[in-house]
Amino acid sequence: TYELLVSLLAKCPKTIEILPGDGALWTHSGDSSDEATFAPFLFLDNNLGIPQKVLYQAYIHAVGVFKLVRKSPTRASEEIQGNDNSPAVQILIDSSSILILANPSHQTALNARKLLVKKQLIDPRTELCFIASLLSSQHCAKHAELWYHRRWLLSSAYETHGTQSPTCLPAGAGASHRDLMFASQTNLQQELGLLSRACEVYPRNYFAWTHRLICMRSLLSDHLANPSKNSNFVVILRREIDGIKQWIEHHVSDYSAVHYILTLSRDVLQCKTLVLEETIDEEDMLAHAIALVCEYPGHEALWLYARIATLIFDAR
Amino acid sequence: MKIFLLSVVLAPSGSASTVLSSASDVSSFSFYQRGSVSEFLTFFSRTVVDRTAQGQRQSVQENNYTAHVYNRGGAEQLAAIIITDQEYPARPAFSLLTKILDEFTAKVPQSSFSNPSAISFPDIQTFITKYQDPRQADTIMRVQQELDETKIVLHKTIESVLQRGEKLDNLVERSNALSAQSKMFYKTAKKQN
Amino acid sequence: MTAKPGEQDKLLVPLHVSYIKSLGNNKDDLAYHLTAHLRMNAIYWGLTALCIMGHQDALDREEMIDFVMSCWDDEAGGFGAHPDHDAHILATLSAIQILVTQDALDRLDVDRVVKFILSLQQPSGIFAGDSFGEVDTRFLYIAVNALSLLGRLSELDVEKTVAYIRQCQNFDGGYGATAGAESHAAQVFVCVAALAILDRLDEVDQETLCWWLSERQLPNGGLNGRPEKLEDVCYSFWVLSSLSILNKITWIDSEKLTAFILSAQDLETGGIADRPGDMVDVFHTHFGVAGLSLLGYPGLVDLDPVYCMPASIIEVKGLRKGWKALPRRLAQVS
Ligand SMILES: CC(C)=CCC/C(C)=C/CC/C(C)=C/CC/C(C)=C/COP(=O)(O)OP(=O)(O)O
Repeated sequence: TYELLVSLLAKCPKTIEILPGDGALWTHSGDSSDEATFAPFLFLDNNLGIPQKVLYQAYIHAVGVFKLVRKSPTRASEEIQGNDNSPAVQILIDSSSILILANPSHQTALNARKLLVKKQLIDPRTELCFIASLLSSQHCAKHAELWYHRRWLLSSAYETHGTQSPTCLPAGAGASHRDLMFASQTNLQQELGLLSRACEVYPRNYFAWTHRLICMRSLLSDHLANPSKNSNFVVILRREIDGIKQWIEHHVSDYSAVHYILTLSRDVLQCKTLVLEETIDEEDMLAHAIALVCEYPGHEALWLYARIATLIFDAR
Repeated sequence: MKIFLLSVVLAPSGSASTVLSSASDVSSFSFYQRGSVSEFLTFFSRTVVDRTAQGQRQSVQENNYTAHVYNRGGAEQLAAIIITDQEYPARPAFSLLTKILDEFTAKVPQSSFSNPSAISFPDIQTFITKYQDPRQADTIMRVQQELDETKIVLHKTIESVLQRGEKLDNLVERSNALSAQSKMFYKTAKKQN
Repeated sequence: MTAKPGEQDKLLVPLHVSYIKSLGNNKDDLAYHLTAHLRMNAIYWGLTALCIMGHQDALDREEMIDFVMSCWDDEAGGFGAHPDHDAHILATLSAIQILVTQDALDRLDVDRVVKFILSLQQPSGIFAGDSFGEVDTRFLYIAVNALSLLGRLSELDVEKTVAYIRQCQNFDGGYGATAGAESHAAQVFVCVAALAILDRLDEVDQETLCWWLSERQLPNGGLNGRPEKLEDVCYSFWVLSSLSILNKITWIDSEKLTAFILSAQDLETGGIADRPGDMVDVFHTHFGVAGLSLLGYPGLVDLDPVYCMPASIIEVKGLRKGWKALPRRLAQVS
């Protein structure tokens, strides 16, 4: 089952889900040929279901394999300089994929994979797809380490623009020190879609909202560096603000979303470019906050929305 | 803020209830969980309706769900139940229950109650879609003066609507309507956030 | 050993001691493997909780020091969480805290560790967790705490460090994991404690922040980490330590919080869970006990909220800051 799980993970499933109990509960042999092929896993329309007990057996196996392959004589990942055919590389990729799925904060497994990306033994785009699969599962969606791994990949996969963050934004607004770059509109839309889903499966997902802000700040600083090339940003920003206002209406206890929209608005206002400032309608946002408080007065998140919106916009 | 289930139920006092019309939305759940969630919504709604006396309105919280039920009784012996997440406000939920009961009685003849599978009441689907945003219910709410919030009993757990000696764990274990997978989800479910 | 009737509203010290002692027993368990990446932290939590309950000697000192040293990553110059794990600043602080508590700092190559830590500071002032670059104010606090414990704070660029924390301050007076990230009680602690060590508490908007912190208390007495989230025993420490550093610990209802923490104890196995009825773990056991110490719970040893270590150790090093916990209450004679 270890090999089967590894191969299913490599298919970049649309969603991954960890199911309680063992394999026998989920698969009834002989029902259909598909089921038999994938048992004890479920794999329907690219959605992967993994019984928890089976996952943990695979994890124990992966711990041993990973340790061995990293050990002798020095660390395998350091040894195998660009040699694609080395079986050690595949063993490292396979075992670390299971370690990370079962234990998303397994820093050492994530590091091993970053090294392989650096040595061009893993294609960063494939890895982005793997991480997207993981982040679809409730079990993984909230982990800081995975979101950081994703940013690290985004800046490796797509060229980063060497521009410094503009002074109106906090230093290092992008990834650790480099800004993110999205190769195209589609990439950005994918990222925002992934984020919304991660905030739905794990509500008020701290690191997902942080990631969203970092993405938008990257675009903002890109736009400031080169306004004519990135004129599209105005449209994106407007859509984002409207979208998040709607999100708040449907998630009235979600202070993470409130914090995000207020911080993004402040950033834009601070950067003082006329086109952008026009996309933030302060009065409208304040009215939005107050209307929501009146409608749903039991929510701390909305009171904070109204209070802080007043604070920021009054200050102007 | 979500409505997961909306049902109209025939609830004659003293005998078991029958679902006459129902709509649900489990799209926000993960792929393999949806089947179990549907089973649970049905199980949960039946458990609550069966323990709501005629003329009574009550709300029951369980885990991340809240069920609001109105057993209107009367000549039709009808009750309605809505299951939402915990953000969805109670007032519009109850307005909706009254409204759906009115519409159901207007459109579905009592004579058909004995054969629920033959009942056609597509409005219930429209309802669950439209009122995902509770502000849509405001308009109906304003005309509804009869709704006196103080009369609605709020139960913080389902245990408090169960009879003495009844336990939710046992009811779940014994239920034939729940699959082995659903029972397993139930056992591992934990309140989140 | 289980609790006797009528004891559930008391801290079950002997039971928690035996729970912590039992933790290393099952090295083949799934649970052991799933938490290997936290092993060094777990030992620090277990040891500190024991110290606060007055049972420092319950775990074998030599064995512990040997384990810590077996996690040394000579290539990186820091500690991993477990022998076969990469060096990380998280495990490195825990290792230092264990060695300090066990009075065994002589085992440490201080120069190399200092070099490792300083190498992780980014141009913006924030610290990365390791050479791969994930940044977080947690790592910044860890760096400040570790350098201070090692007596090497003078090598830190304080201005740059403080400047980054300043950028993390939000409208609610709180701090997040990075500049722009939402306020979170644990991230508030790391920023406030770092500022305390650097003698820069003037940076904090104290009224606004302490108001936000005291809003973390829910009707059941427990504290959450941010608005409209569930209560969790670990926030007893993150919130209380921040309030005690800012000298406003009386802004929460201590009686209700004490009762909440005690209600999360497991009366059979010992240990404290995140909330009543859940599975216990050493993380929540430590932060529950730490919270009770700050609340003046009878019979406990004083905890330093800035370093999250026994107060006496920090005092001896001359590192005590001006924090204020609730006065230690006397045990009630029953
Ligand atoms: C020496 C000491 C005491 C600490 C070292 C410094 C460290 C590691 C601090 C850790 C702080 C911590 C627990 C941070 C949590 C960060 C965070 C933003 C968590 C959000 O996670 P959720 O799981 O959503 O938690 P809540 O639901 O409670 O918000």
